[in-house]
Amino acid sequence: MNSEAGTVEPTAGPSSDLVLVEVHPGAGVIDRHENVLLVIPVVGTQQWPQVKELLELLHRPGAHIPDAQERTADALLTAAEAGALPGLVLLHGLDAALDVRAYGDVEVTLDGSDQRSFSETDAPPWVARRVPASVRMLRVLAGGAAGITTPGPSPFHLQGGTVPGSGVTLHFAGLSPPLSGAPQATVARKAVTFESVLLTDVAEQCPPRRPALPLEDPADLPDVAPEGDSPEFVDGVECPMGHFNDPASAHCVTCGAALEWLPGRTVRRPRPPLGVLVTDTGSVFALTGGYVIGRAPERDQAVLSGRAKALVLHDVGQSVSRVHVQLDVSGWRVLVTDRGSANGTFISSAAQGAPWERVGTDPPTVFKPGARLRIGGRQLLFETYREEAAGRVGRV
Amino acid sequence: MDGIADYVFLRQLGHGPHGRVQLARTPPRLAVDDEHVAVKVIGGATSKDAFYRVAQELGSIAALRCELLARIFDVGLHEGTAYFAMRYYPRGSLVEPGMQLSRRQRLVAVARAARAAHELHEAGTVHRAIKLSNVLLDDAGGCLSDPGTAQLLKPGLTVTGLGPSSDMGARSELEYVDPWLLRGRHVGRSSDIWSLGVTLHAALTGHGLYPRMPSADPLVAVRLHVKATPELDPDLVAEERAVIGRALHPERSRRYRTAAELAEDIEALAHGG
Repeated sequence: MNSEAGTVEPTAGPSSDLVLVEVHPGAGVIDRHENVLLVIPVVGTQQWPQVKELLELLHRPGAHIPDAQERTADALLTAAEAGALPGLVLLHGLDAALDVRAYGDVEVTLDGSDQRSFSETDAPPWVARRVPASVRMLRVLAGGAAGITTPGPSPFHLQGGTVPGSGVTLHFAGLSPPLSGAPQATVARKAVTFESVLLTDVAEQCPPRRPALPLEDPADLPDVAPEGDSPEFVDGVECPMGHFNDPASAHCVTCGAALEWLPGRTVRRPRPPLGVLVTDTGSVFALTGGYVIGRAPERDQAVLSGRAKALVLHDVGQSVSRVHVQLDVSGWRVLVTDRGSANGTFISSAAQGAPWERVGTDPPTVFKPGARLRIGGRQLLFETYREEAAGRVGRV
Repeated sequence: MDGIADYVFLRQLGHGPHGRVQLARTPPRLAVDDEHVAVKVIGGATSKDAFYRVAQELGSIAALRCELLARIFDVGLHEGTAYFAMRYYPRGSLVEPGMQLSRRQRLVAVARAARAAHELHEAGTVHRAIKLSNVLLDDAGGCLSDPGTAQLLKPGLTVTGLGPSSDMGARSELEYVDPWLLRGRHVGRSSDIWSLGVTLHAALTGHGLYPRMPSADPLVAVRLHVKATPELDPDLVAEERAVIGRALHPERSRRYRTAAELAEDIEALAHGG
């Protein structure tokens, strides 16, 4: 139902200047968007998430179309448990026939007359009315005692956006505004909208507690797959210390022991991290799986499907394409493929002064430890620190 | 930037490679008594998915209700920028304490940070960003703040970037990173224990374990850093060297098994010296 609402094409709405929306000061929320006005005179501390959800629904493209708006509001109200939503009034059609829906503890007054007023108690949980064309003024305030006092004229006229307020008085076309000056000006500043998760009462919600971390590090246990990535099993050889290695390596990556003379007996295990990618700003990424690298790689199919992680590289000159280059881990090898980037991808081997060679789109190029990639104006190094791991003697 | 969401910034409290921390007035919606809060604004654009991961992680930390961890009030997303609001500690951190601290007070603060890390570990979480500037001072002696969120925003990330450290204790943020992470290994209890060891050394000596930032070129710096060997201050006494040395042991399996064991030894240093 909601997704249908989202596909409705927004139409160019006629000017909504036909109604002057006077905002009365207070701590509730008033929102005017397209031809819809939402008035929530009082918001409880626990009710902000629902209010934000409602605002988001109303701000979606097409949400101002009566059908869609009705459906989205209905969906929210049906879903909300009693008391979770604050009292509110939704008005739509500010430019033409005006429909009013009141929910909860709110009071709607027409032309300042009690006889023509209504509130939710008339027909719970919703009361919906069409406002007659003859009405010149409509006021929304909190119900009960809070709404008894008739507010004086307010200097705040809302033309659009979300502002704080305790209620509104609508003046329909033909009526002169209650204050002289510039009636067309939005006096209230456009409100900031943000998403927030309050953690002050989070203990009451009590999220499930995770199991304690293991006492041994997963990567130090040869038979345990590293966390995070789904393990790919590979064939490898063990050094005399039991460290798991690429059968093609001459030395153990962990302790440096020679592997060449070992009998050719391979074992199948989860693949250990192959090393790290170091960016030219010093960020380090673990090479436990593939990466899609670019200016905006997050929406790439390989990332969305979970086959690769997104690695964002920005560059002032925008020399990096949105999806520039892809790294895939296959067995013990890292493969690099240019993804049709505008400026190309270049690789330079570990050797000092080695030339830059262009990386093609097919077949992939093998990315060896110590080699660098040039991606537009940025660089990336594939590092394993093998020799350091072998030679490290702590002096601590 | 003069604010984010409904926070109005008063002044900057600190900055790191992944964000800035600002002092802000407490908005009424938080419903807490504190007049001010510390708001960390996370640098770079944050997607909704990444934001929800951060909110979930910080929510599970807040749910621990652990007094050893700096309280987190609110996590939010405003126009693609993520932030979270924490309790403001006017006494500052071990980097910039608001008062002269004795050796014992510094040790007590680090021990409490180690106990806080242990609470996180027991709840299945790694802090990832323990350093001198994240050990804050309070009435009880200290608490641990600002859990690492960078890896939630950038999957696979283990180090958030170099640049000079804002933390006077170390020459670069890299010092606090367990060298095993620079070889692609995963975080765990032992990587936080490494960071606690570096923090302890800095709290006792006022400086880091590596003589200098190895190179201005990050690609070279990371390589040289892993090659370098941490060196303890020669003025440390034998008991202090033993504790720091065990926290920083090159073999992860020979470090302290838990941060609580490390905390006990730091407490013993505090009461013995």
